[in-house]
Amino acid sequence: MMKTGTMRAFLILCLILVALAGAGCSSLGVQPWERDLLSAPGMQLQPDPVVTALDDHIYFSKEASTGGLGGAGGGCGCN
Amino acid sequence: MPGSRTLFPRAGLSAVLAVAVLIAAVLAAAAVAAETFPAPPASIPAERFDLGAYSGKVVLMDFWASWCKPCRKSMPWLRTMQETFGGQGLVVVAVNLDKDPGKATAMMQELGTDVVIVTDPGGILAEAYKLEAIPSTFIYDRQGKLVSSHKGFDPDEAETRATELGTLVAGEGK
Amino acid sequence: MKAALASACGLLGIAGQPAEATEVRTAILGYSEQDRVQAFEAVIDATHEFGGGKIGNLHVVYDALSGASPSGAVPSQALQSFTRPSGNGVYTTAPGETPLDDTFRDTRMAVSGSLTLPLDRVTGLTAGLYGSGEHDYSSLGANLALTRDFNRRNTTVSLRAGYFDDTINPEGGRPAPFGVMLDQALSPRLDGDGSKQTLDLSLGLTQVIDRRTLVGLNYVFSEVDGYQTDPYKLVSVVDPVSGEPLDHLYESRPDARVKHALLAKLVRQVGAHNLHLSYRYFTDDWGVRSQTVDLRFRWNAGPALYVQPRLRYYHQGEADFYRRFLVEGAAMPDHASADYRLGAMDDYTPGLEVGITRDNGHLITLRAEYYLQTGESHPAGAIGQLADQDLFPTVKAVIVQVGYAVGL
Repeated sequence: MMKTGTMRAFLILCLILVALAGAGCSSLGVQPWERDLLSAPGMQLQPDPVVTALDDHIYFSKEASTGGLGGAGGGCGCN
Repeated sequence: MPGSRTLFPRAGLSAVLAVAVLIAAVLAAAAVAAETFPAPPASIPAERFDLGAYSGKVVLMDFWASWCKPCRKSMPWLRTMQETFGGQGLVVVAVNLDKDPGKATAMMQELGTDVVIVTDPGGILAEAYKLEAIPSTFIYDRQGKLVSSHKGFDPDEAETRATELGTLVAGEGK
Repeated sequence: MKAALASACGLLGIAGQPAEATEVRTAILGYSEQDRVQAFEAVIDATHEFGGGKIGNLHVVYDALSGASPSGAVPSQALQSFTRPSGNGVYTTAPGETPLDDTFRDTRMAVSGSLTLPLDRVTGLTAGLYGSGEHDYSSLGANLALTRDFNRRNTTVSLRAGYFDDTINPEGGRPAPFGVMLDQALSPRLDGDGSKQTLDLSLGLTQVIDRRTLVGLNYVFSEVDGYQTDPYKLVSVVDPVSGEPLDHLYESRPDARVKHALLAKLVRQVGAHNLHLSYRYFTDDWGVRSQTVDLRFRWNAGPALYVQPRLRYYHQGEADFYRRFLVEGAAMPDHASADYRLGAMDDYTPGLEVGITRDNGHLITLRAEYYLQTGESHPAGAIGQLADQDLFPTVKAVIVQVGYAVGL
């Protein structure tokens, strides 16, 4: 199972990010009626989930790194 | 023998060239077509909007924008509410929040001519109402008192909300 | 897996078009490495909004691989003959050529589905299932995600967990670690199928900075336990003077791996166009460290056309147990792999994507990219004839994709 040190580090990171989210970032952002530009497809973090999935699959198969914005990679016996 | 069949024989450069030609053709076509917006229907600018002008009527005030997907679903519902209850004293006020109201023309036309359209590109009314979501709906009774507010638009709730509105309009008839 | 909430704003369509409740995206992709692997993939992704803000997603992928990829053995000045992993038959490699093995050619199907439920106006819960199968590999997985918006949706925090259980039953069975590849016979085998379990945990933060700027931060932790050796890959044992391969051994990787990835992304509106810049740092306890930079500039030429050049750069440091070859007489390490994908490399992907929106709102996307993988062709320590061989030939691949989406 997960090593204790790593689990602790992960939980601390969780707490930091949640704290940041709740308090530290409250001054940043826009009003709900100012999201015109942000709602466009070109401004999404993942504009095209199909392109992202296909790309992830190629790079997971040809390189040793995993993990992207979409998180978890699936299993495959890709060579 | 290890296979050396290729799906794309030395296609690297050819693929790039093909895409480049395609882009050139499409850009040429796009350059010819110009983007125009039709003139928007009659509307009241936000600075000149006065809720008091509708005293004696039930007012359904809805804040929306063209870039908002649930708003697009709500247009037919707003029109239906106006057509159904307009005769009994309902006024639907649709406040458009597009920074360029020209982009919302098609949706404004969907609302029909009886819905009152307000343009608020500067967000004056939005700010005053401290909106937390788009769309947001506020319902006022005939005395001008706020009786309910609603965030978002869910087609599943449309009928329930219509019934509630009908009750409000009928109950206050004199 | 979508965690966007349907009942209040986020997504755009063309102004004035009726909003559809179902989005379907399809694509076919061709991947072709010069003289090596070719792959064909077809994808269908469908997302449907049910009432009450519930969203369902179905994702189906079919892929077919063919061609050959490096087995990990070193090139020689003489003709080499290798036994297929199944034990039946041999394949030969010409002098000076990189030994390539085509055993893995295969077709694969993967299906995943998810359902997102809004817990309240700003919170969503997503549950998903995953399954994939090919002739020598199958995987089953489940995942859960919780997303919450803060600060009038300017801040989004997401927590995701995924678990996968994979079964590997290679052709000819699994070779014993460092088993010697025998001439037209099976080297010693391990019993039964291999299995591995993966646990993924990720934490994401998205923050709207201003009307034109969005940033995202994501941390992914992954723990993999079980059989992670590639049953078809070899490591050559070479003569300490001539550098000629004397034996080829089946590789051996550790059965535990802990990975960390930190990804930062910036999306920025520049005039009428969009800039996407992402950076990922990856590290694991196999000693692999990598950095990825991906830059895209979406040039919007009106509401119905965009042209998007893209450049991806990837740098990877080799795994601790990566050995391009072993030397006869030297002490055997606990683990060793000559799989170039665990070696040091610099990869470049320049590309171009074009998106055309038809009058009916359907979107056509065309993408063409060139993927270059470069590594140490002449590492220090290349003994004898190996110094004259290219120990990491540059991999050159062309990627072409055509996509069609409706209901956006």
